[in-house]
Amino acid sequence: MKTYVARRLLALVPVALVVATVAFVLMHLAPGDPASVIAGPDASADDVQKLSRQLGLDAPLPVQLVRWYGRLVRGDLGQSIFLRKPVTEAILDRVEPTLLLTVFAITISVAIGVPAGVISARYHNSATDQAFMMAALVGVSIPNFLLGLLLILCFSVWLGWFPVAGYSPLEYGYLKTLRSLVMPAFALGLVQSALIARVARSSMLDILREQFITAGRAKGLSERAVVYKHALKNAMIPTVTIIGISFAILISGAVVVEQVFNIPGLGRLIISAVLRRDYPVIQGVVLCIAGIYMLINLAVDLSYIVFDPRVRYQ
Amino acid sequence: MSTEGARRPLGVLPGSRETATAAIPPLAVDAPVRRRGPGWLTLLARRKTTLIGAVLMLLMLAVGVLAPMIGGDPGHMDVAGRLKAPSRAHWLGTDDVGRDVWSRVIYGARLSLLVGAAVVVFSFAVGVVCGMVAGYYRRLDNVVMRVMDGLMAFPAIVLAIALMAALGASVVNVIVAIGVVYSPRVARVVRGSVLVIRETSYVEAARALGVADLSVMTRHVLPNCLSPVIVQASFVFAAAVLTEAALSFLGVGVPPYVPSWGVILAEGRLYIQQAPWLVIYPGVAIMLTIFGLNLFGDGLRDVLDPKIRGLTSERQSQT
Amino acid sequence: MRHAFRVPAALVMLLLSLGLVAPLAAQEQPRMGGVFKAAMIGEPPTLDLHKTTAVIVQQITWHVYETLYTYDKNYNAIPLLVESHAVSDKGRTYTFKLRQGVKFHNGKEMTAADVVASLQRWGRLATPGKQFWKNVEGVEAKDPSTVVILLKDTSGALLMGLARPNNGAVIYPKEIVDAAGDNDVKDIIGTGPYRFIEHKPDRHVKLARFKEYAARSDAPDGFGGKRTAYLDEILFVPVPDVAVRLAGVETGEYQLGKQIQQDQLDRMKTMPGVVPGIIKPEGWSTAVLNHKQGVMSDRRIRQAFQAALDMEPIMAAGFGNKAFYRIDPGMSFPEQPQWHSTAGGELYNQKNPAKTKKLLQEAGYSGTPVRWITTKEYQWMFKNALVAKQQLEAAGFKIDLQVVDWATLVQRRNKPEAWDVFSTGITFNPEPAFSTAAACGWPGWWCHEDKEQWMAALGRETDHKKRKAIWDKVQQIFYDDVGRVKLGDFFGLEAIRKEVHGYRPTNEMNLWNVWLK
Repeated sequence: MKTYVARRLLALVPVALVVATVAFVLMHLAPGDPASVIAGPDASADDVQKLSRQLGLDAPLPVQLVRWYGRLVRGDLGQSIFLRKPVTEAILDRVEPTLLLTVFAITISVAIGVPAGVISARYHNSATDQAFMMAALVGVSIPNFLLGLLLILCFSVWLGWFPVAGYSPLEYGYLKTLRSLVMPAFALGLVQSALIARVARSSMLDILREQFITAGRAKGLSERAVVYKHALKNAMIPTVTIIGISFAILISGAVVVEQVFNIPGLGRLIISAVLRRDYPVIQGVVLCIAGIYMLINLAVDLSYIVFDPRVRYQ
Repeated sequence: MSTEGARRPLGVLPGSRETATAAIPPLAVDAPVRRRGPGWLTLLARRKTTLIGAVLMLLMLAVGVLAPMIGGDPGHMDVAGRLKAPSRAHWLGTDDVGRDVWSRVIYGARLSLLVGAAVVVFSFAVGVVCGMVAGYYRRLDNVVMRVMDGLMAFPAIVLAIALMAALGASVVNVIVAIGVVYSPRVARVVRGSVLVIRETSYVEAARALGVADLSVMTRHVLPNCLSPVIVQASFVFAAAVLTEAALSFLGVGVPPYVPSWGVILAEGRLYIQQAPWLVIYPGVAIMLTIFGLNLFGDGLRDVLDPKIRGLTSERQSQT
Repeated sequence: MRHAFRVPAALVMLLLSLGLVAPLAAQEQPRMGGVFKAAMIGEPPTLDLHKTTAVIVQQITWHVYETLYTYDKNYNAIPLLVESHAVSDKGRTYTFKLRQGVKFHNGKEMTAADVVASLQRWGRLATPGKQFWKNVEGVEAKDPSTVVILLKDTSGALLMGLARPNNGAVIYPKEIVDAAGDNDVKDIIGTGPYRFIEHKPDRHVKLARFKEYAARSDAPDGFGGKRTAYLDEILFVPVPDVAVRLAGVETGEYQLGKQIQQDQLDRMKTMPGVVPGIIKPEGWSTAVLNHKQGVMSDRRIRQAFQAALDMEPIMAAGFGNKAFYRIDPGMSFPEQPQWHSTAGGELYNQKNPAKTKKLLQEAGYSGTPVRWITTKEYQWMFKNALVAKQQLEAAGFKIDLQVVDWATLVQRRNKPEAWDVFSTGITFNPEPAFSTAAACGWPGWWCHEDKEQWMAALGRETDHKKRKAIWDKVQQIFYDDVGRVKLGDFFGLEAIRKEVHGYRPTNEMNLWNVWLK
């Protein structure tokens, strides 16, 4: 088991390196000299030169790259051009809504997806199964922002149950915050629940075909015990995988949905940074999200230690 | 190792050379199944759902190609007639500057078709080359796949946004950005296939005979790893359409005066109360297109490679 | 002139039927307290009022900073920080007696030294300031409460220039002026009824009541007279999404939503709790051309641009409701009959693409894309540009429309190499001598020898009839030389909660003397 953990961690290093390099390349892909972008339109040529030297942008690229790695290790993501504060601070300012939205969305997607998938598998090939799976396929085909717009149309415009958009920060009350997040969370969560349902169903079906299930039935176990006690536990392995991955996906999905519902989270931060050409922020947010992605995948891999006994004996 | 593919269709195989970040699509572990009997086209046609998917796809293709004939002028602004509900004069209504929504949806299909096809070409060109090289040459495998893994560590939409920030808003840049995002995923699938095919006896024989590497690759390996790759085409196409719509909706995709479904949705969003048709029709268009591509792709996959799952309809919704 | 905000008849009927009118009338007593949230179109590009003509900066900061004079309800200049003034030396010397006991937010008392330093900085950095300073010989502090301005020649507009809120001659403490130099001021300290608390970009700008505010004793008149800070706190929240601004006022999250799309008026009338506010006129929409660098520096190409445009669809697209825009060539508004002019009007709204093609050919236009920067934060700017782009392209131009956020546009327009055309609105201005549209130093850099001389004369002249004649001449040059391209007049719509009392919808937007029920 220890080798497994060690190998997972070690495997992370080259990927992290590539991620950091890609982020560096992104900044330098942009047309124009980064120093003059940072200095702003009112700066004179001298100011730009000074800034260039100050930021080390006049050094050859490989040197800049190494220094960039160093800064990343220290957690220094640079300074936002527009917001005039460290990028890390800007990100921390915005993380609350995105995180809340993601957690809410994943709760919805698991609460809907897992039972739907299990029921589908239990009543395999019945009308329920077909209906669920068609719904799932439709769900997977709707972009989350479109679903968000349709939800607004239905529940805000026609029925008036929820506010059209906007986010109520936690400091003004939990309930208000939750209410403002219901629709965006559903927009994100429903699409993911379709995916989770499909996976839960297919892994349940695979398990149900296994020999130990047949043995259990032969032994005289009730269908209920067979499905829910034995099959489900085993089917959880890939399902937990997909839930873990969903968390990462939802964070990036939040980027789009935040725009639909005007939620001031990481998504809005990166979009406004793009429109303002605030490259340090773009870089910082992208790195942050990629980092979370990597960590979640690591966590999923490590979770196999708990779920899959075979892993422990590697 | 080979039995675990069936037990764990989507997980990472422990102890494999894949890293944690590559939890999305796993290795292909079986050789592509070659069938005797009815050809794949017949099998495809037998499934109702796939047929529906194919019809939807062809519909989109037809609309996109015939746009200049049936589309009218998507840019013409009849400002006096703005925000009009669907009527005989304007089948799907008009938008906030008086442009015909039918026109814009039709030309939006054309744009999606263009972007989808171009992204497939781009990502396959890059992905096949990288995947082949990685699968064939052990020494390069590590390097190439680390880079691919690194790129895949960024969620698709986030990487696409960052690339668009660097490149600037234009249709070509959107194609390049989305192409770059999906190339690693294609490369991964190709590599998986190549790894397996490499070990087959006829390839070994060819190499033993001293046939040049390039020749082996193009003549023996490539044709055999094509079927999983072809399955990917449908999903990559759908992913490209979806990602372009998302980028344009966010305002970082195509320039705002290009008719794109994402752009129409973004503009329609502000008028959702007075003019819901601005959201409904492009929305339906997107859904039908992606739905069709997914159905077709699923069918294709089930027919050609039931045991191999690369980028699936599940995965490509993750923008 | 400006209208007080009208309560629509429907709302009154509703209130009557609910029996609320009687208690409402009894509760007209202003109440201290409350937090006011104003939904603005976006982030302010800076908080240093000397540095920008962007209206959003003035709307926020003039609660914190004050000028020596301000406007009364008829847009005449009345004293604010000044006690009295005297004119001598045949109109070339102005002696101002400052009010005593006016405190800055840092506790320091305002003296002539602060005024002199601030005026000098304004004269150096602000667009109207630079224009004003052309006639200034010097400014000095005669004693701690007296400031003297020495002019080169008489001035017809000095007090109006000092009263102007936009890019205004606000008074900062001397230490802050000295520390900042030409860069943005670091600390936001003024003498106004509200003091600056914090600026969290993309969240809010927060102001709080300044308890030691030295209010004037005369009755409120327009923006002058006694200013009372009834509200405890004011939050200016950037809400770039216009649907969310309006929705926020509807739910009561915001008390005021600026810049609502004009075609929402009918919907707003049906919303309980929301009162529409109409600002008439708000400004005129314009495309500013780059005279200094790029393809628009050629007069023939500018004239080609001007000739192609058909203003009706451009304005209709931007403002929807016909009641909210007007096709008119004047650089001043018909609401200002003493300044309104139709000089040069034959070059306005020409709708002549054939002429455009000819001019482009003469100028040898080779299809270089014209970079037009605009923004969606002011919805109408984008729509105006979109329709204009189509008309111009049909006439032979190639337009590269770049959409950015407002704050970026304001920054980028300072770089002559970065653009050829940008979108903006010229807001209502009672004194043409300091017109932004006519200013040479303002982005666009329209510097025309004759026009400069006429503008200087306008500043000096004191006889109104002669001033009007000069303004006519300036406007003629505005059209002949294509200084800027005026698209049309527009009126603004904003959404106000019915709990808000004492508020008059104006472009400048003041929240003193405003209270929440």
